[in-house]
Amino acid sequence: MSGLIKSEMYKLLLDRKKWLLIIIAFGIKCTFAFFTMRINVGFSAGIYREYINILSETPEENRGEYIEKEKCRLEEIISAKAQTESDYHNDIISLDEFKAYMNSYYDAEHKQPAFEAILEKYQRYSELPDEERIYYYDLDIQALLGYLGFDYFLFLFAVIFIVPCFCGEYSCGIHPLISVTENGRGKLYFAKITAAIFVMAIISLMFCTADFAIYGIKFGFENCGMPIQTVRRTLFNFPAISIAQYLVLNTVIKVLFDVCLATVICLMSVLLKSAILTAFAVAAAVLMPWLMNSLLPQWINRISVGAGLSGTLLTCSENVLLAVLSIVFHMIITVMLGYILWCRT
Amino acid sequence: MELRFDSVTKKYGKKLALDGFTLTLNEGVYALLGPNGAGKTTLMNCITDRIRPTSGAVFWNGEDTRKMGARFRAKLGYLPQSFGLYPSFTAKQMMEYFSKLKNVRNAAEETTRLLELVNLTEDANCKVGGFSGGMLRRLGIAIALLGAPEVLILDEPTAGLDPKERIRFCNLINEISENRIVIFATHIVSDVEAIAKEAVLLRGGKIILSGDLQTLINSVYEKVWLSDQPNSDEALQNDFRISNINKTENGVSLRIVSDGKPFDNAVRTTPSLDDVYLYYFAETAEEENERTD
Repeated sequence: MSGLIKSEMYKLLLDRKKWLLIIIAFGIKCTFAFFTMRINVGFSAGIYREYINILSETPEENRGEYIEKEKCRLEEIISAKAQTESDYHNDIISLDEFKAYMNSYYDAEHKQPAFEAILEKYQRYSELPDEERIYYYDLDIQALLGYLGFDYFLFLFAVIFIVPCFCGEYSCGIHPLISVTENGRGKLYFAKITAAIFVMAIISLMFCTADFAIYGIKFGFENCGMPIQTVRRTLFNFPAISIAQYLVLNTVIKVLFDVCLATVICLMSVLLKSAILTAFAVAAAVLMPWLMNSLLPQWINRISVGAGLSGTLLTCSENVLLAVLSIVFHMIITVMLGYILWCRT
Repeated sequence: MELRFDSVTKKYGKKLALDGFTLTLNEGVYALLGPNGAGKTTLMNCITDRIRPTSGAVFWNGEDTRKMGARFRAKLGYLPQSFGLYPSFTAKQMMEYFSKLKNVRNAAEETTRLLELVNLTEDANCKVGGFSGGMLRRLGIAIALLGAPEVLILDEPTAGLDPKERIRFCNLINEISENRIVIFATHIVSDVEAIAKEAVLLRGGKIILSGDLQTLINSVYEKVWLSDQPNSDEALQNDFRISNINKTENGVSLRIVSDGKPFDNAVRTTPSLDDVYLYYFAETAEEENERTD
């Protein structure tokens, strides 16, 4: 059996220089992640960080005072700016004077959106009753959590690599020879599914690790020990785990759903016997509900395979029980699909 | 060693591909002879359990082969009429892969021996994608022979082989026919003469005749005639089953298969297997019209 699994692994990963394709895909994915994983906010992350650094260095009891002062300063400058504009339009000041004033306001004007974000967070988190939380760095984590959506690269990989696992037999015409051998049905199918699941799990882990590594390179992991509730306010019913633990849990769920996807692809390959048809069917089954989420009831979106694959099952579900039920449901479906596949042999 | 077909019937919609096929085969080489659509490939698919008969069963030493499942497949070697192999695999890799599928213990030795047997030793490390049709078929034969199968099923094994390869293949089948049942389907009568111990004539999914080759030939004894005619026009060819036309100084010499004396000058001659095929499978224009009506 292990010999057959090795052969299938060879066909999936090494035959026809597929390893080269994996390296290229992995490289593109990493490059893409590096340049697109960013703090997606409407202000300069640099200024936001400056404020964070100032607040970090300020003793906690003085932070409120600092924020109040900065708020007043910025408001005064904004007000002065409005006055300057009015003076210019009323010919009270010349154009040169107007330009000089406006230049002096530029810095404050530029800082205002970032400060407002700081102020909003400060006010929001100050209302929370308990523990000492480092609220201000959460934008970095948000950048990662925001990025950990549906991985189209991984989906494409799954379709390109897993579909030929069974369809390759039909397309090259070797199936009549294989199906009459002693191990050509049950054992071979088991070996193929095992190899597909194993490859999918490994690649899924690789891709998730790449996201984390790139996040670490860009932002560092200093704040991953914080409770997840500090960055996901919707998760107040969730057990008190750290962001790092949450990310690990999310990765495990993602890998489980990728395994589910690999099994679905295998079953569809056997049923449809055509690589193109299978690719379309899988894309339709997985992507359509995900892409048409506005047309479907919310609860379906929240527990769908797409939600599992995108890693948003936990964050969307709000209710841990619903998320766990969704995972159990999909795992049962996966086992059933595997069983149907087995029976077809 | 006994392979028994018990009223094997296969229907595709209303069409009967196999109609109560009943036969018992023991050790030896058997040819399945019949025109296209006679049910040869359907029968082979039933043996290899690639299709399920509508009724009836195939038994190996008294045990239902469908119930035996993998145990029966372990005894099978199969060369389909058309097949492909992984183009990026070398011949050796392909043999190793099938060794795993067939649980062959001494895979390396078997691979070397069989590739030599089919004259592919020099191409063992060449990719299958670059093989010619003949080479692919020879590799298919080597794969079929892996694991020393007790039942060897060959569907049109010589199709696509050049004459030299065909002769080589026929000799090969003769060499390996001991201690196993070899069933091969073909259109080529000379292959049957070269290889088979017995032949089964199939038409419309039914056995119309079976037995050793001499029995088959005897069945058309006194039905093969030679007759000299001034020409062999189309009307003549439509009216009689003509197995051979030789030009002579005065016209043509016809070899005719017919129940009765076709011409006054016709004389009986010794029948051959070609005549048997022609007698049972070639239709005169009149018969064809009757069948169509």
